[in-house]
Amino acid sequence: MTTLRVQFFGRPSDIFGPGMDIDIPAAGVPLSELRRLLVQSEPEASAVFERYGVRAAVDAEISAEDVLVRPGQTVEFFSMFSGG
Amino acid sequence: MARAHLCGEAFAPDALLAAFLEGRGDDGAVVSFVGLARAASRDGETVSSLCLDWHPVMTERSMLQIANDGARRFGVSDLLVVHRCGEIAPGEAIVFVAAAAAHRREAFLAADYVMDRLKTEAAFWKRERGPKGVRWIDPTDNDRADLARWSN
Repeated sequence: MTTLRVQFFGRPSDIFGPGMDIDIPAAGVPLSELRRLLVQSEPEASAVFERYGVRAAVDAEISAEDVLVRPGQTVEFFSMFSGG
Repeated sequence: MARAHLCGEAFAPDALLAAFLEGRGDDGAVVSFVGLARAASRDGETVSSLCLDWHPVMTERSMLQIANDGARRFGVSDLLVVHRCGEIAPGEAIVFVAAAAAHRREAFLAADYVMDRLKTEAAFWKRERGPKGVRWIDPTDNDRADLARWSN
């Protein structure tokens, strides 16, 4: 196992704060599994993820749920954008 | 040509416009838009400040992508987006958009298009601070309808 730093923007930061460390296998995990681990640690995140369309980015690229996240990569979860 | 800048401090829209207007001998039109932080929420509650969270990479990149798309789509000669981030007081400018073109229609359309996309596609997360605390501001159905105008 190794530790991955996950950061949060928008609504998810209310639950997780700006960032947290999470243990993942050294070979990496799909984003979907990372999302499951986050919900497991904070169950109220499930409703927030669904209601506010929370997406994820790997190395600053918005990524699909099957993308494999490896140690050393940057991972962020964030709710809908609201600029302007 | 399009430019987009993220700005962590208050900026003067009039100075940005003056600079944008310089040397425009080949353009027949400049359209500018300034978005301001309001002192009241949509529900009429007092807003003491607006806070715009941003991403260190995605935010400016998304702004530039939108500006480039607007410049290409409407064939404007220059397009500038400046967007605040961080804590913003009521009355301060949040966003400045300027478009220069040979004729006015293209400049109006480009500025309108860029603003509609910035509202829902620029990587910002907006919160209002008021007497009842802090609350997130999500995109509205109107914002999404505004964006949908450009889908054809």
